[in-house]
Amino acid sequence: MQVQVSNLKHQLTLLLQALETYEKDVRDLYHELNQVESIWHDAHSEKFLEEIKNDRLDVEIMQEELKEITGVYNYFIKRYEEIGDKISFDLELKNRTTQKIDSVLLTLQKTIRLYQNLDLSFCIEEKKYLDNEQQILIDDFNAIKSIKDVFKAKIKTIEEIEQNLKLKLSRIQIQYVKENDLNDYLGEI
Amino acid sequence: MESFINNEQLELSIKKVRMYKNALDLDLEEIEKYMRELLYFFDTKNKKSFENLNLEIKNKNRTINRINYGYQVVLEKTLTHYNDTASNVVKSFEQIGK
Repeated sequence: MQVQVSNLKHQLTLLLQALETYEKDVRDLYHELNQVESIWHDAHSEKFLEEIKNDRLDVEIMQEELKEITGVYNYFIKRYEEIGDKISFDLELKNRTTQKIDSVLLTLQKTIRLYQNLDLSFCIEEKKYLDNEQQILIDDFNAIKSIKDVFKAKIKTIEEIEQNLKLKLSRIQIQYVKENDLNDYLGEI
Repeated sequence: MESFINNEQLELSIKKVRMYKNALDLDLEEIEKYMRELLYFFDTKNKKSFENLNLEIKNKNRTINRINYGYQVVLEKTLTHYNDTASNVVKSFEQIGK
């Protein structure tokens, strides 16, 4: 998986701006079409104006659908932003990576234990030096353990985000728009 | 039913409808473009669902484009129809006058 948060943010801003322009142009078009009522009147115009009302509702539904999609992107960006800006990882390696870290931790643990079992009572000077070395290993052990915890937490967050995204996406239903038959508004009166 | 048409106003309306229709075509193109470009910046488990939504929106946009074009066609044909009728009436009166 890979996610480039900044680029997504920028692209979503452009999409939202385009949607605003679209909404304005839709308002202008339907305003103009409604003006037709005062300049054209016959049996066809009534049908035409009726259909325009229905079409307007269809367009409003589509605008809502687009808002739902941008809403999902917004959630997507906000949640991945918690993890980082550029995220790239092969999730199939999740278990293998954890196992590798565990094996490093185990090796460190064994070595620390070896240090602890050494009898250094006969060499005070060397003991100081070896105690320092042991402390370095303990610090490394703790650092790697904390990296492992962060790694596991991030993977858990990614899985949770993807699960929520799946749910949000499944709720979006794009409705079918029926096309009008132009002949209904044309021809002899 | 009273039937009437204001040719000059209708002509003006047709021009405006054409202008807004062209603007909407461009808007929908932009929307599709940005939706498509969003997909360049991620690859996760749910990408396919986003792709499917894009496709559905793209198809819906095509239909809406055709509907918007239809408004223009209806108004243009109505104007032509009324102009033709008026011209035929004039011709008929001329024939009667001869």
